[in-house]
Amino acid sequence: MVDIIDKDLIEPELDLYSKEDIIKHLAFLMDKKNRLKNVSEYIKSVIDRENLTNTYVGYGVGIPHGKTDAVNVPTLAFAKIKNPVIWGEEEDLANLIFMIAVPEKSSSNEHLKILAALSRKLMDEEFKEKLLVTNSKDNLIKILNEVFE
Amino acid sequence: MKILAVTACPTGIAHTYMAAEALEREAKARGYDIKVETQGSIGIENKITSDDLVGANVVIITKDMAIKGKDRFKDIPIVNVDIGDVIKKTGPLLDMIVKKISED
Repeated sequence: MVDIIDKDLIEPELDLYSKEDIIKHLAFLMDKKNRLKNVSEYIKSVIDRENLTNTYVGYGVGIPHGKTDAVNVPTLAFAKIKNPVIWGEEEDLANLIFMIAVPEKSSSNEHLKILAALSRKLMDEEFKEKLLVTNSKDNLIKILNEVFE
Repeated sequence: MKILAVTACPTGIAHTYMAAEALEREAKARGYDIKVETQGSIGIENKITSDDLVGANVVIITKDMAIKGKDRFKDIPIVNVDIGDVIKKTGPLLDMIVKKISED
């Protein structure tokens, strides 16, 4: 099974100032790793999903996601934003972004289970604090992988 | 206090599971019995059976998606909630629901 995330899909100090720019940036990272079939279609599905209801989930966390045929492999990209950006209502500032890509018809339940486990883990304060204290990609991937084991 | 819940969201990837986790954590912290069924991309997990219905005080259902098998709960008070509120305001939401059903 292809890993759901790798070091190239992590941005420890992303210096962007809008939700849309962040979504596009992370989508291009995914595309560079051949995770997407069609990057613009994927971006559109993520933004459509945000417009339905924003994906701010509290405590500085945003979880933009798209489920579309434009995705090759279930993928997670993770970014820590230098200056928190508005992700929902005006007071909803996010600095931890977990962007998810899932094919419309996923061939493997394993990936979906991993994403479910990650989602549950996001409710754990300690997990988020661990991600906040380091900017090393090696450490970040290690912390994220704890979820997937 | 025995609480049942069913969570579901449009893509079934993330919110379904975050809401389930949040409800389980906050309910357990308050000493309540809780069982949360997730209806997400993986399918139905932790399914609420007829045995689980016995003695349940309330069932919390997220209203963002139609849930499967709502008929099961016809004899229990149902509270429909926004899945975003479940995730962001879990504690206060739970307290409000418990207060309301205790008064009824």
